Amino acid sequence: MAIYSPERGWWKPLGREEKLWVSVAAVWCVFMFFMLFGWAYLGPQNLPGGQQAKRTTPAQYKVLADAFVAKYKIGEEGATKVPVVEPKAEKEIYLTAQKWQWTPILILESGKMYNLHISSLDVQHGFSVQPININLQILPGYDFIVEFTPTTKGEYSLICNEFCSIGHHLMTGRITVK
Amino acid sequence: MEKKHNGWEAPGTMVLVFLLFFWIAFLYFGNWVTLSQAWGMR
Amino acid sequence: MAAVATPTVFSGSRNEYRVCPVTTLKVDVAAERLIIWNAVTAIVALTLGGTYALLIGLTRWPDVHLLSAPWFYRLLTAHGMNMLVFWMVFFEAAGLYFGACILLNARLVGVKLAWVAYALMLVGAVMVNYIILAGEADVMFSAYPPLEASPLFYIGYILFAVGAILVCCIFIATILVAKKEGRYQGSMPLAVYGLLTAAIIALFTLGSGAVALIPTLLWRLGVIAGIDPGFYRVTFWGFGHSAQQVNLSAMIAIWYSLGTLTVGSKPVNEKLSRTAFVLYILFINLGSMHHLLVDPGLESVTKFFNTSYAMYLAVLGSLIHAYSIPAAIETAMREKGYNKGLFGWLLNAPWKEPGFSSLMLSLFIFGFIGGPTGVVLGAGQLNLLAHNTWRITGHFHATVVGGTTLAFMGFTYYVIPLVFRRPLFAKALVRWQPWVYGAGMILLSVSMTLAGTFGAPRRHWDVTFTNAIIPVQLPSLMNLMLTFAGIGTLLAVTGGIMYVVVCVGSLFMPKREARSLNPLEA
Repeated sequence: MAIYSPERGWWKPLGREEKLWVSVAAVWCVFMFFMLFGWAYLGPQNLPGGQQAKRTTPAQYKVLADAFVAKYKIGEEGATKVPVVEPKAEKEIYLTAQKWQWTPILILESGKMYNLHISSLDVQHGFSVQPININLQILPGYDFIVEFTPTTKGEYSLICNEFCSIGHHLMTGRITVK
Repeated sequence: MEKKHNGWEAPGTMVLVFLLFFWIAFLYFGNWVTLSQAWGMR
Repeated sequence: MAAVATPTVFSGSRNEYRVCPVTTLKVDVAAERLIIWNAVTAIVALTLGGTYALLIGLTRWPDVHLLSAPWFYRLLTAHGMNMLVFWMVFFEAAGLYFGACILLNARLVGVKLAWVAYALMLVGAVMVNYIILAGEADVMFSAYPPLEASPLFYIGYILFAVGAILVCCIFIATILVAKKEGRYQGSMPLAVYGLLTAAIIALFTLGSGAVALIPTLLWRLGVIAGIDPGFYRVTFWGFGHSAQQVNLSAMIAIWYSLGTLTVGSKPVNEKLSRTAFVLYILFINLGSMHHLLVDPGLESVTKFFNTSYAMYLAVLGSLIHAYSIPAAIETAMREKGYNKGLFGWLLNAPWKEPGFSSLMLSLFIFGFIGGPTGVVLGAGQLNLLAHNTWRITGHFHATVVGGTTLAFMGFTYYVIPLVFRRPLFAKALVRWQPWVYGAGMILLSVSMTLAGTFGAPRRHWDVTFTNAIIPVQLPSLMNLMLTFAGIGTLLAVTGGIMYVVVCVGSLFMPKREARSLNPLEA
């Protein structure tokens, strides 16, 4: 009994059913493991690799992000004048997470490959693209470089899904793919 | 002396765990299928 | 009124014990007192956490939207701390004393230290609760830097962890001494083996928490300049996720125990079950990587090896238990003569007994909802679709709330007549409580999961994003799911209230020896 000591000599071979189940379970486990790698080669979507992040500081990142916005800004939107940016031929694009706004609004071209740089100027934020549900953790001090090629035209919303203090639910943004 | 059912000790449990197995496989593959709707993030 | 048995003393020591008339186990009197105090404190924490659950559940129900934003985030922090940390660990402390002393017929080693441990845990828990309600720790249970909380928050957290470490050490010392003094013959019971697994994992877990929280405290005290957020995440989740594996091991130990208590089942193969626990000890801590799958700067190979608990070996452990526990019940029932067809054993099982219904509900919810969603969410590329959405919240409500908490509740119904030595209050409530709670948790966790697939973020006050500069609209189907989650919250909280009412009411029932293993007849 589980709450009483087992009989002596409890180290005995598995019965037929136990062997069957353990084998099936073990094969499934190994399969799932190799799927992780297999999908990295076969699949349409992958985690950014370890190399796809750089150490930075909020101050350093802000310089690059501001320069990017200044160079490609085509307008503004909203009460706080969120910059709207169209990078055109530029591959290195910069998104900034800050309490409580994603900056800038991006207008991208479908079929074009970008290195999307994302970092935070203050606390941790959760990059979340809807409705496709791509989610990344954004840390201050880390420039997360996401290589991607948007394939489908449309308007994508950004929300924040890492608690970033009292205005967390106000933090939104937009990426438009033309 | 365990009473056996057609030679199986715990056939009901075998059915249940295989049900569990197929359920996990279903959820797993079902989710992989939804991956293809995402951005080309290779 | 039946007389309460007079205590005698363990041979070669001064520890007093009494003999349980139902199980004939020797019950160390000091251990019994500690079980009672830790269990009662656990239930107080559950009550607080459950009250907050109701309030935040009614806030995330869009039509209700009860709390203001600051109070939502505040009580969400308090909910997380009281449930994940205080309810779980105080209850597990009671379970450890139960396993090491009562199940082994042994005396508790280090009684005074055990009370020091309890005091540390209590002070820590009170500090944390106070400072959160005072509005100085709106940081969630994860407290990610650079979010800032008052130093008192981290001090309380650390004090609690130190107390918990002490409990684990006392548990292990008690088992070693019990073996040395020959208090039990042969190998320890499987349930104790499972609790030992939990305690070993807990030591690593709490140590990792210390590595995360102590530098963070030093930062908040101004002693060091800052703490790298990535470093914190890795070390914190070495505590945070591994703690869930502590809960998992404890829950499985209780599953095996409930099987024995309700139908007299014994493990079909002790070697198999014990090996499965060893797989946990060896690999389960790698699961912390689940929280870091979409973090910058970690290599994919690192992520894959860790997230799979080393090729899913720890998952294999769970799959083994998933078989062993029902198989044990089935063989026990078949031996009693319930041999009809494939499922006669299941249909004729004692469903009316709260220990059995909570066991089966907990097995189902953890086995079919909690566990599989965990396996899916832990696959690297799939995590991309789910990280920080309500799918994560749905997963862990199925595991730790629908699974572990429900099992703990069922087990309480045996502890009250046998250890507290009071008959259960409101037995009608007892019979239905696991069902009400289980149904609520199923509705809640499935709704959360589905809402998350539509993008619902976690820890979020307003998914309509009213007053955001750039407007966002999430799919309307998500709102339907959020409504169901609200209903699930009400149902689950009702189940929780039933449990607390029974426990508190029982404390006021007249003290007497249990008359049966079945708590409805005790």
